[in-house]
Amino acid sequence: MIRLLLRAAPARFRAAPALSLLPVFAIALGVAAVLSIQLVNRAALDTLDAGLEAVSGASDLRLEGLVLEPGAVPDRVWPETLAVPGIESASPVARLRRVSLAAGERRASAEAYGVDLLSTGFAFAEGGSGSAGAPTPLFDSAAFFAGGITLPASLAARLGVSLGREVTVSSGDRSREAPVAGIYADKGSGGGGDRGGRGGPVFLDLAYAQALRGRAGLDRIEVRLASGAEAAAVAEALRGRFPGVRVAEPSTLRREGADLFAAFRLNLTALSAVSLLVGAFLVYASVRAGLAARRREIGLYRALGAPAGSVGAALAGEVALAALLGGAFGLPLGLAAARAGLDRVSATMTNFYLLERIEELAVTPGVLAASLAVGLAAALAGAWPEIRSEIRRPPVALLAPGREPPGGGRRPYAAAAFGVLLVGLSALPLLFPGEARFSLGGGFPAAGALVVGAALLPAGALSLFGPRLRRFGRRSAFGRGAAAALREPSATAPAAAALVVAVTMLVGVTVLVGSFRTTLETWLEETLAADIYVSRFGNLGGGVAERLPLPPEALAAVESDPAVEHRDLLRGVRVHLAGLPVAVNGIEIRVPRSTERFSLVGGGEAPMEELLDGAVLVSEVLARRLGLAAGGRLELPTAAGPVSAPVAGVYRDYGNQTGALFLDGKWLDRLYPPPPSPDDPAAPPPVHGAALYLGPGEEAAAVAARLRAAVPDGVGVVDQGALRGAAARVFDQTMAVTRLLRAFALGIAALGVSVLLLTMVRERTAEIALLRALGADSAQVGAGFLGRGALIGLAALALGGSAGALLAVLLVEVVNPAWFGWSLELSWPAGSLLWQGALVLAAGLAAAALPARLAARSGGAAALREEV
Amino acid sequence: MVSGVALALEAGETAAVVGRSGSGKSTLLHLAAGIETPTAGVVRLAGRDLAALGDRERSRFRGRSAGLVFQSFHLIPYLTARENLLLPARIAGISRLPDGETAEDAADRLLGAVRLSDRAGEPARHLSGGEMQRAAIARALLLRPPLVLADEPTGNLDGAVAAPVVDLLFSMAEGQGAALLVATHDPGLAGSCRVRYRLDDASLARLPDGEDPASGAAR
Repeated sequence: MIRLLLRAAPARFRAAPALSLLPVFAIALGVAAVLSIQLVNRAALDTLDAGLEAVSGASDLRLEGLVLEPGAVPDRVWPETLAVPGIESASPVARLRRVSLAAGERRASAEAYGVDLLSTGFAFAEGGSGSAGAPTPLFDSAAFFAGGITLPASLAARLGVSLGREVTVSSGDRSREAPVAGIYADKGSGGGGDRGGRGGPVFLDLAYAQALRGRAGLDRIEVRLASGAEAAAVAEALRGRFPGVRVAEPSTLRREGADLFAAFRLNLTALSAVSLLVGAFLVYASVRAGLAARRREIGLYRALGAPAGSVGAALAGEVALAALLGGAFGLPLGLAAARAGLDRVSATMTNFYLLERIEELAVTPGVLAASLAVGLAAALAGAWPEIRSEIRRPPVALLAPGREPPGGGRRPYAAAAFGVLLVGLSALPLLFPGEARFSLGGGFPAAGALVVGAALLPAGALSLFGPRLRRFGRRSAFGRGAAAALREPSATAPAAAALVVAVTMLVGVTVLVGSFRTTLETWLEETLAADIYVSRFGNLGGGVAERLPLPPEALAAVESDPAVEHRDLLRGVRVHLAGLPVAVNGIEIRVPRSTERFSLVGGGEAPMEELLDGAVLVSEVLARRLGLAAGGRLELPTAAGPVSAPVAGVYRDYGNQTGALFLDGKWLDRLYPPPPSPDDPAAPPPVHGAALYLGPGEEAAAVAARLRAAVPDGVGVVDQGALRGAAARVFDQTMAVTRLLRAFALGIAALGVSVLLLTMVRERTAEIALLRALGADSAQVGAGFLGRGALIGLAALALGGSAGALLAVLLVEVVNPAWFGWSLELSWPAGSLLWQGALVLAAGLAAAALPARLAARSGGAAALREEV
Repeated sequence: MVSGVALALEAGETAAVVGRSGSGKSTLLHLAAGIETPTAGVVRLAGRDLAALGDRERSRFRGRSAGLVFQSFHLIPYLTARENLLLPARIAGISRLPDGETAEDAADRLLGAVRLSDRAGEPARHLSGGEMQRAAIARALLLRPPLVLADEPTGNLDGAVAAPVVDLLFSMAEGQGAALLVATHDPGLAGSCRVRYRLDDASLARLPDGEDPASGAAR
């Protein structure tokens, strides 16, 4: 039977090409959406892994500071580590986030690692994976020990240097000449992977790296265990010996890293799943239409002796073939979409989660096969209900379809009632007070139930309201077309359902993005109290990277400018709290407008007196993650052991996703004393940022321009307005990928409407011929189909708009705080919503344009003898 | 639709069922083919109780044991005439008939018998009404079923076209030794059958030999 149907497939395709192609296109787009998101998510995780492995190779344990600051692990820990039983080797690492390299006129920048070449277990020396690549023949160990630098090939090419040539390496105000001691092959050396002007890291001898950054101490020590040693036991021994040091296994580090952006990945996956859901609806619609057109054929097979199961299996086989064909188109499309979107997602990830840019996609057979399988499953899930229903009909009913209208015998109200139930259930989390509403899967199951429930509504809604609305469409061909669509709810509903899903998602995500943006703007308005902000480039964004201190020249410029009435100097450290890096910021509590700097959850002013006494203000994200509230206590890890600090309040913070806290600068210095500078032990603690309050009548833009000219390169001076603009740009960049996915879903749905109407044209050739015979002109026939498209668009707008509004409330009130830790003010971006409503109607009309044109041309005399 | 009906057909026998529209003639044929199942009573085809078979087995058995000819032909429009003929063999998975003849050869032979050899490669939608019904008759006989059921086989054909189709149906059924049961309004066609029944008010009555079926059938 399967062979029989497959053999007839080409002829069937020639007979109804549009209908045959619909499931192919729908699944192609669905698979493309899923694959592109999976690839991008995978690439982000791979980047994280590569970052972890770049210098650790296959280490078994990692020692790093509880405080995540450069040099947080004292130098003495390294030799002492080797004395711990069960340890075979220990490799110290000192990291410089950014060094400048110059050779003649050519300049570049790179991340740098100070390493000990003699330490066994160091990946570069031993040829581990990651950016360091395999050991290179271009390596001169003597030159390395003598202060030489090892470069990735891409960087060497950009600088135009070869082995033995000198380059100038500088970090901040320190610089030195270094011979090129080695060149290794990196991903960027092929030319294609070198994005954003940065290739792999450079390597220096440990002592030279420490001197270059002007700070002793190590960032981490990679430990390899002796054969037979228990990782857990050795880790425990290390913790006991070095209380100020964090000991973690690579798997823990990987998990923590992945947890950082698990919510972001889940969000993208959910959005791509909506595209697939819409695709499944289209498969349903096309299979339904296709089966309706082939009802006699199926009846004949049954009459000629084909069992129902064989016919069902054969029809499912056809769908599977179409899905595989769609997948074959979808895979390259998804790959192209992932490549196109990689830069945007990479920018978002590096704004918030990753230290490295995402350089390339890892396209494995596994991820391709999984995407294909998901597409196939969606297609079969979409098709099977209709196939099953069709093959269950008695052959007689199939052979005489005129006795039963298409989709007749269905109970649209039953499906719609189930849909209403699902929609009702989806609102359940909103009824729970406070944090309890996050307990039901963080709102995602509710959002899923809402989307599926909304998709079940059209048939029932059209059946219910159709008779009352039909009378409005009697005066024109356009209106009569819309009324005809209302008269056949079961035929119109599948396309409307697909569009409802797309509109629901469109409205929900649009309101979420609009609410987020409005909240962010309000928050910036409320909390950016200073007139000018000074910081090193790269310190903005609240990501996971450590912050660089302001150079002394910048501080001097800030101190000496007469327009500056008051300075709020910020020093920050990062500590590990419950597995994630948290920014601990010390500020000057007593400054003018000091209480304006924080927008407290629950309102009110920041309690300054408590802060002066050693209390902390925790960000909403951190409070939610650790279950903190005002009046509670937070245990801070310090080198001297844990310190319990009272929580004075919880503030809103939309610039940091891993959590942050504020305390008085003096308390910070006491808890986290800065490591002494090797050049000047009496030097003041580093300053990571300055907020400047200008005197009355001073022009912020003019003062910022003056300061900008006075500070060295690498230091940013922005006035309040510019900072707001930068924040808005980062936000838009972060949300750009959701626009792409929304467009995908809407595109698939519009395609579905189009093909459903094409099917109607084909099914109604004889009807159209009769209308023409009765005097209808081609424009009237075409307008009728445009009316159907408009009706589908309107129905989708009404149902999808309502469901989308509920989805928006769920996303804002439940999903977002549960997964991202941010509470948002619900706001309805009327302009965007109106524009998108018009877009949906336009999509419905555009989708109807081709069918209308074909309808206008069809209906000749041949149609009257269509039946064979 | 029908009740209290008792009807038996022997191999090579021809029988007609006449009755007004809606009297249940088609239902009777569908019951005989196992397309519909009776709520009470027994339908035996080639000695087997069709109701005792599951859907799969009944479907398979029907494909091999009953050839069907419909009023509206029921050819697959996008398949060629030859492909339509071969459908029963493809569905049953039969490539060779019991006497060793291949299904393809049998299809070609039957196409020749119904004078469609030169139209064998044409899609069914390009055939005329008479050609379609000749192809449908050939398809019904491809697997040499013991029973051929024809539901108003001339209902969509005019007289000039219908006569040769009827001749063909009878001669081919007879040639294969199959029993032929025809539901019809056409007195001429009914008159061609050895036995005639009238189905009226859900009951089946045998008409005496020589009685004009038109006297009651086509009211």
